[in-house]
Amino acid sequence: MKHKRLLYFSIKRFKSTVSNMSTECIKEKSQEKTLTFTRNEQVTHIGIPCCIMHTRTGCIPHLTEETLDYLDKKLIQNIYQVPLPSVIDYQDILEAANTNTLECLCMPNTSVLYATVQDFSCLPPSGYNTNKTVAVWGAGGKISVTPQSYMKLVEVLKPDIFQVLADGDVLKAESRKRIIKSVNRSVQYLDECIKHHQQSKPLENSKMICMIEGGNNLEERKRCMKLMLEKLKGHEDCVWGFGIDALPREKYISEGTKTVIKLLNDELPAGKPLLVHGFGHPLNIIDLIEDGVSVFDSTYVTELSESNHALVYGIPSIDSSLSLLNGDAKTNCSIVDVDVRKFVETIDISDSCFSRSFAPLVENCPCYTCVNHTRAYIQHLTVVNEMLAPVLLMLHNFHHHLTFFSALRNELNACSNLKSFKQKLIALNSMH
Amino acid sequence: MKYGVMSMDVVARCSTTKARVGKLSLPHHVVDTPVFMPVGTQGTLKGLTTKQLEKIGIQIMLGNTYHLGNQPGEDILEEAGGLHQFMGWPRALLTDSGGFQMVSLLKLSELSEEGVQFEHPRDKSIMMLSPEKSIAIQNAIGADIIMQLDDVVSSTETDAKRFKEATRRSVRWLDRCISAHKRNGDQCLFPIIQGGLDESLRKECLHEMTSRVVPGFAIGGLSGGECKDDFWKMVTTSTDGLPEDKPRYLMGVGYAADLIVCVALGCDMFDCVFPTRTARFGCALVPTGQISLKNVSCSKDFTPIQEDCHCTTCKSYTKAYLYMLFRANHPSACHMVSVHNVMYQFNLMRSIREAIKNDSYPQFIKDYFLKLFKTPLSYPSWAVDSLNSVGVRLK
Ligand SMILES: [Zn+2]
Ligand SMILES: [Zn+2]
Repeated sequence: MKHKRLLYFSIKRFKSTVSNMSTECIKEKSQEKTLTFTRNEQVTHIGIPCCIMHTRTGCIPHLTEETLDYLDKKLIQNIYQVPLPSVIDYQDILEAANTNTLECLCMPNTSVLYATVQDFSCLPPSGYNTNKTVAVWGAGGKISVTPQSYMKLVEVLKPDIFQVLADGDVLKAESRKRIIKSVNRSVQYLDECIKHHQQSKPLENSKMICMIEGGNNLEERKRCMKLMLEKLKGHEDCVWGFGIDALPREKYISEGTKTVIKLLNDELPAGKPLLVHGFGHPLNIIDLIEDGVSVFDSTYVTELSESNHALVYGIPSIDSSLSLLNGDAKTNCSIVDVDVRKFVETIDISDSCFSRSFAPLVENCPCYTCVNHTRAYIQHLTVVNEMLAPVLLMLHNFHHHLTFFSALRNELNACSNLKSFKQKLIALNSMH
Repeated sequence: MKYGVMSMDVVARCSTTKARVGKLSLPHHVVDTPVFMPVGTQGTLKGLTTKQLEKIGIQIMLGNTYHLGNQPGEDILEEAGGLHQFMGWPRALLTDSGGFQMVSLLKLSELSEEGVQFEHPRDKSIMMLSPEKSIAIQNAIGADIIMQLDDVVSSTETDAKRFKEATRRSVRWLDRCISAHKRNGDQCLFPIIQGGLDESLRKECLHEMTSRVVPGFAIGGLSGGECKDDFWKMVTTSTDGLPEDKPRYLMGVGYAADLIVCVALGCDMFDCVFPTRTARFGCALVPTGQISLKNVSCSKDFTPIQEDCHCTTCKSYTKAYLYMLFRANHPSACHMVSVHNVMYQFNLMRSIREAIKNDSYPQFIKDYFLKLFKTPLSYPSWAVDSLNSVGVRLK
C-alpha cells in the first residue's frame, strides 16, 4: 500500500469532459512515476517525488529569470506555486492584462501553475480567521477572504491546480476546541468551493487540492477526511490531490505526525497525490515519501537562504559504490534513531568561523555559487547585509535540494524503495 | 605613453568639443573611455552577480576603501589574494581613499597633518587614517586604480582659508601616498585635484600635482551640492590644466546630462551610486528621464521599461509586473531594475563614444537634450553655457 501513490498520475486539462481514467492510478502498468499535465496539447511530465518551485507573485524570491537560468535545467520541475497573499492586491491588474496569469506574471508559458491560500515560507499572524473568512495578508495589510471571494480570485488566476480554502491556523499547539472549529470551518469552505467550482466556466480545467485539517489530533484528522470525502462524492474528478495542512514544524517529524500521514494515505482514494508544504530536511523527505507523500515544495530553500543557511549534506548517488556501510549490523533500521542527531545538513554561513574559509560552500558542487565564490565571500556579504548573499544562497540551495530530489527519483526508479538510500545518506553525513 | 602597467591611448577626438575616446589598458582589463563606473561599495553591486555585470559589458567598477577596510578588513582581503579574487571579479577595479566617507559618515573624526583620526564604528577604538594607512589598505585590496588620501572639505564650508589649507595639505599627502605605495608594478595611483570653487587655487593645485610622476588624475572637491555654474567652470579649468595623454576621472558624477556635458569638457571616467541606488527605490532610467515603477500609472502598463533596451529585464518583464513586485518589496525587483539601469548607463557611454568616433558628438548632444528635456525652454542654463564654452550651441 505504501507506494501506491507513487505509481502513475495523469491529469488532462482543457478537455471539456474530464475522463475518469485520466486521474486514476494505473498501478501495475507503468514504472514511470510522473504527474502529467496537458494544456493546449502541450504535455508536461513531472517526475515524482516532485518539488514545486515556491514563488512570491510568480517570482522565485531573490532570483530573476536571468539568475534562475544558472540552475541546471534538468533539475527544475516546471511547476510553480503562487501564494494568494502575493497576488491578492493585484486582482485588477491580472484582469486588465487580458492574458493568462503566466504571461501577466512574466513566467515561462509552459509552467504548471499551483495556487495556494497562504505563503508557507512566511505564515500569517495567528488568530484572524472567522467562521466565514480566512485572513490573508497582502502587501497592503489584512484581507478577509470568504469562499466566494476566494473562488473569484482563483477564477482570475485560472491555475492548473489550486488549494481549497481552509482554516489551517492551528499550528501553535492549539486546544482540541480550536482544532474542531478548524475542521468544521474547512469542511464548510470545501462545500462552498465545490459548489462554485461546479458552475465555473473559467475553472473547468482547474483542479482542486483538498486541505485536510485536524492538527495533531488523529480523531479530528479522521473526521475531517471523512466529512470531506462525503462532500466530494460525485465530484471526484475535480480533485487533483490532497494536502495535509497544519503539520507541526518539527526538525524531525514526530511519530504522531507520521501516524496522521499513514492514516490519511491508507484511507484517501488511490490515484490522487498526497502533498505537504514546508518540509525539506532530507531525512524528513524520505520518511514522508515512505509514508505516501509524493509532492513537496521549495519553501525550505527560501527559508534557509533567507536565514543565511547553506545546504551542505552529501547526497548518495546510485552509481557510486558507497562502501561506508561496513557490517550488516549498521544496516538495521535503528540507525536513524542513533545517528540522527549527528546529521549535519546545513551550515550558518554568517558565522565568523567562515570568514577565512576560501573554499566553496560544497567542494565540487557544480552550481554557479560554488564555482565562482567562496564561503568567506558569502560570509562577508551576510555580515554587511548585502542583497547578493541570499541570491548566491538561493542558487546553491536550489541546486542542492533539487539534486537531492533527482537522486530520490533515480533511486525509486531503480529499486522502488529508499531503504538503502537512507542508510547511505545517514552514513555519509553522520561521520564526525 | 606607458606608466608602469597602465597606458592610455586616445583613439578619437571630437573636432568641436574637448571630448575624446580612449583605450585605457589596466592590469585586469582594457577599458573604453569615456566610461561610467558602477559603484560596488562592499565588494558587490546591489545583488547583481559578477556574471550579470560581465554580460552587460562592465569593464571597471568601484569599491570603497573605508567599507572594505572595516569589513572584511585588510588582512582577510590580503589572504584572499585581493578584492578581485575575493569577490570573483576578473575585470578592472578602482578604489577611493576612504577620506570622503571619513568626513561624511563619521561625526567624531578629527583632522590633523598626520591624517584623519576617528572612532572605529564597531569596536570604538581610536583609529588613524593617514595617507600611508589608506595606501596600505588599497594595496591589500589590489584595485587597478587607487586614489590618494585627500583632505576633504565639507560641501557646506564657506571659509576660503580652509580650502587653501586643504588643497596644500592634499599636495603634501600626495607625496606621502606616492612614497607609501608599494605596488607601483600593478596598481596606478591617482592624485585628486582640489581647490574648491576657487579658480586660482585649483590652478595652483594642478600645477603642483601635474609636476609629479603619476599615471592619471582625479578631479575632486566637486559634485557636493555646489552651484552648477561653479561646477562646470571648475571642471573645465581642471581639464585644461591636465595633460592630454592621461585619463581624467571626475568623481561623483552620474546623471545623464552631467555626463554628456563633462565628456564635452574633456573628462574620461565617472562614478556615481545614483543609477543603482535609484533602482532600489523603483526608479528606472530612460532617455526621457526616469520612470517610477512604484507609481500607480505603471500598474497596468504591460510594456517593458524601455522598448528598445536589450537588457534581460526588458526582455522578460513588464512595468506592471515590476509594479507588483515593488509594492510587495520583492528584492528581485531591485535586481531587475539595477540590471536595466546599469545597462542604461553602459549604453549611454557607448553611444557617446560612437558619436565622438564619428565626429558627430555635438549633434548627439542636441538630440539627447531634446529627448531628455522635451523643449529647449527647459534646458538648464549651466548646461547651455558650458556647452557653449566648447562650441556647441544648444539654442
Ligand atoms: Zn553549490
Ligand atoms: Zn532594460
